[in-house]
Amino acid sequence: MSVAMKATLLPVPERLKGFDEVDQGFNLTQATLEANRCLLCDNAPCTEGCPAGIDVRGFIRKIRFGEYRGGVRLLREENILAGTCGRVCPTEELCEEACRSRALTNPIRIGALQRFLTDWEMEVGRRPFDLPPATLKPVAVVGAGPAGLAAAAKLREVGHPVTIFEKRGYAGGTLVSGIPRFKLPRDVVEYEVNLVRDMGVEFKLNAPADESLTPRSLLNQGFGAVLLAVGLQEAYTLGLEGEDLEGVHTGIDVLRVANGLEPDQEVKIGKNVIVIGGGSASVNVACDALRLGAKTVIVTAIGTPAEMDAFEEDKQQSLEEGVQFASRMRPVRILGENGHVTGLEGVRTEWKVPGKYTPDNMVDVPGSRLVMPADTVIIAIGYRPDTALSRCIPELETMANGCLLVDPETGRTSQEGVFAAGDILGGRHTVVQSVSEGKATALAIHEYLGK
Amino acid sequence: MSIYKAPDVDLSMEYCGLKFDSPFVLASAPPTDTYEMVRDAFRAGWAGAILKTTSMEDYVVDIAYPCIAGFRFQGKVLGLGNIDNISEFHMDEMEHAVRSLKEEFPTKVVATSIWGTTKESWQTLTRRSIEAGADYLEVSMSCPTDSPFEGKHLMVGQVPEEAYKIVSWIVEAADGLPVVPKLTSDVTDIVSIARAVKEAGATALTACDSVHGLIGIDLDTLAPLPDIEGKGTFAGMVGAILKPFELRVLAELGAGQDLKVAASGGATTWHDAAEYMGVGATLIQVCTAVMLYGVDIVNDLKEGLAYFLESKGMKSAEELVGKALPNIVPHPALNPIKHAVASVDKSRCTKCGRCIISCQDGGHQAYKIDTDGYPEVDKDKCYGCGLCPEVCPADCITMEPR
Repeated sequence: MSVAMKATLLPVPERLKGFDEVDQGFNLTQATLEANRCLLCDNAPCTEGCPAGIDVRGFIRKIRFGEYRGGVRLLREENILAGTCGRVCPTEELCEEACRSRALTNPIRIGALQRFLTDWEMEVGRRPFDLPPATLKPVAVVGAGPAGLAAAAKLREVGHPVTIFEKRGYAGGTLVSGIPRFKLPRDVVEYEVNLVRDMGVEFKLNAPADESLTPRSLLNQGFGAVLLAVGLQEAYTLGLEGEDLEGVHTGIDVLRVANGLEPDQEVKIGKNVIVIGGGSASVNVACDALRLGAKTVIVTAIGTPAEMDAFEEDKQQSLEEGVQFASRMRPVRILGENGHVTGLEGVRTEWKVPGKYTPDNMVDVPGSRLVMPADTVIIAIGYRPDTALSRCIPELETMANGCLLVDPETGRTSQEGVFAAGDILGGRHTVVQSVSEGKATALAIHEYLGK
Repeated sequence: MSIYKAPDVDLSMEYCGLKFDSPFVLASAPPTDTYEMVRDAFRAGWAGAILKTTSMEDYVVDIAYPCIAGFRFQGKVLGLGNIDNISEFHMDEMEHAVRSLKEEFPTKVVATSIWGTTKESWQTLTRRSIEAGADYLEVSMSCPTDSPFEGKHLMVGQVPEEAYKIVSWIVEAADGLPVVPKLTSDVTDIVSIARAVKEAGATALTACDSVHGLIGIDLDTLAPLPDIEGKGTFAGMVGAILKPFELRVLAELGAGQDLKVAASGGATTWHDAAEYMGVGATLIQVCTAVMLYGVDIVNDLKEGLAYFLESKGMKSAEELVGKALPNIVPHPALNPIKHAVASVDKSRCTKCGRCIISCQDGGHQAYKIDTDGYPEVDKDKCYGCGLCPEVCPADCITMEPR
């Protein structure tokens, strides 16, 4: 067996009936065959390629040697969200990119093997925890998303009492609200949130960071340090004419509705949907729109599907499900009648310099205006920090977009005792990157508090 | 750092009156040829090591390289064969290794393995092992590639009288130091050899050495593998292929005599180790798995065994030793009826039809294809022989009770 084990995917008609997980994962036979393909390299590059620092070779060898319990131990040691990451990591850009099996046939499906082990653990039950007593200085973590959860677990693991303050009524952050259930089922997130809870981390839900819950007030309450892992809460818009029309939504609201959560503003998905985007989130939104009843969904992007900054797996899935792409197009205005969306006007674009797919390299093709009819337009071009945040922590240094400036080594902000990790630092964040930052910042806090 | 509680089981074993922190030790073989290799293995977590078999300084050790070739089946190495010899390092080097290792790792067990040609050399090697501080002595009487007993290709361990004689010499010089003969499975009745060496004063046993074989024939040169200038010779076979034979020998020794046994041959994973212990092994010696995967597999072995013991409610590895022996009965003692019937899980079946081919041509012709193309078992025709689950690539056939 030398070629990678294919994923077992739910057939498209069944997928579109609801929000069931598309990838069915490996069964025992498939996992064994795939693990047997692993070269078990010296100085395994997959481990180097994992931002969370998982001993990839080690856990694959555990599968190969029939030692699943030890495999799960290796995963959880480095990544408390291993089941989540096994599903949502862009492995083709990380561990699998580095995989030396590529030189023979194709990379080992590391993410799927990781998921096999965490699914196994969910099925048979986890071992009891063995943690030191929480006798060190208490730490407050603001935000229960991936960075906050990973940091809280690590802080608790080294002996700090930890309290997570979460604005929403649920823990998980973007794992619950920003990633479709068909990619990451809610029970997987809940299982991993419960790991953190069972480690002894206290969760205070419905506790937004506002004027009454500032880093300063938390430090005054006796927390030795505060970690801001608040993520990006607000959707960017384009400032286009017609954005206020009925039938225009943000991507995050659509994702929330599809995940069974309350949106900020009411969402009604029509029959003909246009998603303005280009990243993985916009592609996910398009797939969710199909599940919410849309007949046709078109994603407009400044690049072709091959040029888009979306993960391969997400693009592949959307193509399978019938999402269409209006490539190299710049939206100009949203058209409407009687206050309701009727279409999108755009203009064709081309690249000034070939091979560079960024907005500043884009130029309109003269005379190429076009109108696409639609009854729903979804803007899914990314997130920015919560504007309430800058009001409650005006003393923190930020970038122009409101993201926090920190020391990249330690995650320390400009304010003594206040650290930050995750999406709020800006950049193109993945879940595993947030996990990595959460862990590193937790250890920096541990160091700061004198251990 | 693990966030999970480690299994609360005691992996330590007692053998030759010595305490081992786990059953896992390095066999006398290439991974124990130098101080540095054993040091790294001890750091990785092995409980002990039997240094590669050594000899007097004036003994000439000849080795033709390459000395290793693999036994491959459908592209996969199932075992290795070697035409290696005892160590090219003599007793002086091994004395140095024992001293350094015992000084650096006082709680790890270090044994020498010796090979003599005369009573005097066997006894001198024994005394020098004691002086160097070895914890016990393994007697190499079964190396298939260098035991020219009386000029014939016969091993000392194949002749009860010879085995008795040599072990007696060693015991006489050992001054109470435990003496462990390493047996060969290339015998008609291994228990009679075990009884002979016990009679001579052996403290415990190692079973077995590599198994006499011919690795393969190069069909271009018609020379055995590995090809040495167009010639080759019989080899010692090692690795996973040995497991069923090793289990059989351990079970025979477990039932037929009372010396403790260190299993040697064919263990790669904790599964193998646990099975060996079930049929009576106290220690698990490992060589080939280390040669293939590296010394750090000891952690996979220890962790897997510990979880297994815990899952069986056992508090210590000692509890497992011999637990399977009462279940091994003579063939006539088995109830001679059809106990099971094959059952296909269609949800996982690929419709490849391997089960149908095997049953039709090598079983009881009990399969047919249903209207959807899936294999279907005729329960009246099926004997429940057990062939089809072994050929199914999708692991979707199980033997269900009738």
